[in-house]
Amino acid sequence: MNAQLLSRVAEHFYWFGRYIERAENTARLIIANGNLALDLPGRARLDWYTLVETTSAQEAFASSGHNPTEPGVLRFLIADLNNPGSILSSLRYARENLRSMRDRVPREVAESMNVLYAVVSERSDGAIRRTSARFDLLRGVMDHCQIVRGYLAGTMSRGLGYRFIRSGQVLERADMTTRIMDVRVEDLLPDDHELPAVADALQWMAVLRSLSAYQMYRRHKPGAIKARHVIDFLLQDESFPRSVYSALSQFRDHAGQLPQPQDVLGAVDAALGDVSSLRAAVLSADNARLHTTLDQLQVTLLNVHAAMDRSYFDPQPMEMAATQTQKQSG
Amino acid sequence: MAVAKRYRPLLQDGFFDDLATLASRGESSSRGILDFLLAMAPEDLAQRRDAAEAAVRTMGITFTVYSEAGAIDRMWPFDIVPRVILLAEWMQIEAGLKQRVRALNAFINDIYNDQQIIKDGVFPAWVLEKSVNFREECRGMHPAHGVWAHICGSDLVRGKDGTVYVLEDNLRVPSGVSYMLENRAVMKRTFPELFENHYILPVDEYPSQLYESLAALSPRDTSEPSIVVLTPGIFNSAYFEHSYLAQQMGVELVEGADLFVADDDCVYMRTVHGPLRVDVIYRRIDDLFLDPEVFRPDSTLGVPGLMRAWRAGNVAMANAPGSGVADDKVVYAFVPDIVRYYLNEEPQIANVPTWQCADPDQCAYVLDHLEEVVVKPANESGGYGLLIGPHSSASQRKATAASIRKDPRNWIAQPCLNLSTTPTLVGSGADCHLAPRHVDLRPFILSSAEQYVTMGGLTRVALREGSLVVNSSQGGGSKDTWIVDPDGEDSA
Repeated sequence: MNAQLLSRVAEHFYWFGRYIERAENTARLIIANGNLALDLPGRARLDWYTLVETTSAQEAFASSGHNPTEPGVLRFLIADLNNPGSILSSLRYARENLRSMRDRVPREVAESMNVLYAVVSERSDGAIRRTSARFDLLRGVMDHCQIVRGYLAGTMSRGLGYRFIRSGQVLERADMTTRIMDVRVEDLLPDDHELPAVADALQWMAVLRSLSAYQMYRRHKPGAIKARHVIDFLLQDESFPRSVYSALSQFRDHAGQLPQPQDVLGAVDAALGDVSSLRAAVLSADNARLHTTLDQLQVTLLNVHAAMDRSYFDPQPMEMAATQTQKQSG
Repeated sequence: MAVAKRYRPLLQDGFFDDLATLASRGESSSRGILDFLLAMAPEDLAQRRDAAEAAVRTMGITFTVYSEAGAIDRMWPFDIVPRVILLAEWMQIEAGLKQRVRALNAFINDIYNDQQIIKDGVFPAWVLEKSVNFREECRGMHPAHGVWAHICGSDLVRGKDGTVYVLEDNLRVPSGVSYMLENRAVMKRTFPELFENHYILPVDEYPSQLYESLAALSPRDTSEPSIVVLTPGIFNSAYFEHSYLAQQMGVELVEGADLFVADDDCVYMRTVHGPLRVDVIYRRIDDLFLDPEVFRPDSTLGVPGLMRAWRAGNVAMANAPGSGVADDKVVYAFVPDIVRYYLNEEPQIANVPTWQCADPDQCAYVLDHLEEVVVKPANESGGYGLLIGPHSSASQRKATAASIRKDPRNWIAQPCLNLSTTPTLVGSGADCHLAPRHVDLRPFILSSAEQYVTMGGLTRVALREGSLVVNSSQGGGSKDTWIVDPDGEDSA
């Protein structure tokens, strides 16, 4: 009786997990870009619009009326409620999803969400104008999302609801890691700008830092930072929890606990197979190829989501009824 | 420290005060509670109020709507002074309410079947013809236990001589019971001393009683029927109550889209395990939105085929569709006759005397006394079209008179009641003191295999001085209602 879970509520759990993770990773994405800007010599102008492309939000940006400048893009990504992928929108959706399930998650989660939402809506203006305030705000977003995750991990029973939240989180994380890996100097600088010699190491350091992966990577691969190793680490490392492979393995663990997960497991196994077959050495030598590969990975992840949708959130009622009749008569 | 101002009830104006009148007659519990409150310094009272408000806010977190639209956040002003009713009187009210709802259910059942009451000339057929809540689709139905209105919220007021009247019966989707439960929880924190020194009867039984009432409606003979609360969704103003009751009962809170009716005419909910049969639906959406196949085709809140499943007897609905036929204001006037007709008993709880404009003599009286009476259209709610004679202008009376002449059957009139008052905390800081404010009371009556009445109910209070309007949208608030048993008190 208590194990039952409405499809709609399951979907709310799942999307709550996704939106929390999306808010956090969008903050990480902006931090990565900002750090890179500070590292570049001669205040080379960064093309902030690339972040709009990275988050696949070109259409929303076009209709938003913002200029593709640093403040315009920041406002769009942090506080624009018309951008469904902005940090504020993600938090809003996370809270809306939470409403339908708040008697099933620890109360502290809802309280943290309220605090975070208030902070972002009140302080976004200052954060867009001043670089120092920006970092504080974005770091605050990361911290609060980690607090939410901490309460979930530490105080929520491992029932179906928990599995759906975690599935959503780690699938979103895999997706966002591929996007953050795509934030690199080549894209960020105007075409005719000459790359500084150290740019390769700098950009990957920025990516690693934005994923809180720098220390773990250092332990994993001491010595000079090489694109090949970082790509290998972020895509395929089995122990770092934000690597694509690791996020998908976690997804597999959680999805495996859901009822009749065959369809979903098939999709995630295909994605894991794709990730494992990638060769970091090849990708690091060819930026265009890396970019295309990351795009393809995002499509594979969409298939995993589609399997979740089919299996749990939007099953066809008539098929369901047929199954039920068979079960009852069988 | 300043001394609290004395409490000046409106007794001299002909009002009954729920606490002061009984205290002045020497009733010990009322005297004790009033003295306790009057002995408190204004600052102390203000501090208790602040603490209560903080508690409401904290508890409100579980209810608060997580959205930008602050408007759907239901923080209803709460007054910390309890409204006291003695157990002996409450027992009489309770018996009267049970009797009344029993008769109303018999009436609804008759109306949708033989209509014997019309054939016997006790109830006029034209009332039914004019009713907006009569549902042809419900004809011939026999819900379990003969009960249609399983949850009834009746609004009670006290007149100047202390008599308790039923002002109206809400037989469709009455709300407010969650406030009753929450108010008690806040009061236990605010005035623990009073709970220690007086025997205040608990109210917490309601969710279990509601569950039992619903479970007894299950069409399937199973030890654990599948019960759901059907809500219009998060944007409904009473959503928190829907969610609260589902949680308190341990049943699923569903929206229309979570349910579907299969070819076997049974209702199922969509779960991650596949479809799960539903036995009982506590629906909190109006009749006309229940089933787009039968009622409003544009309704997205309901479930296509739900009426089919209900008519086939495969699912129970509380309240049954069509129950609203008995909470029409014209029907109201007939309730005493309805009680006598079906139960062969005299009504134990009073109806407000009502003039039917459909009757030429009564209509003439109303038209001659518009300045003294309250005139209500039969089929409007929310105060629309209401005329309060003593507060009306000549042109308003003229307009109402014209409307009455045009369609007398659509109008009723009642004497202007002097609603009772109860002490209420007003002012702030050193000026914090008790002042009389008008109140009503909404108890909830459950009817299924057995009947149950909440211990008290939700007291609503008009927080503005002199106001008679208790609605939250118009400066109303709520109070905890205490049914007190003086015999159960520690004499030490």
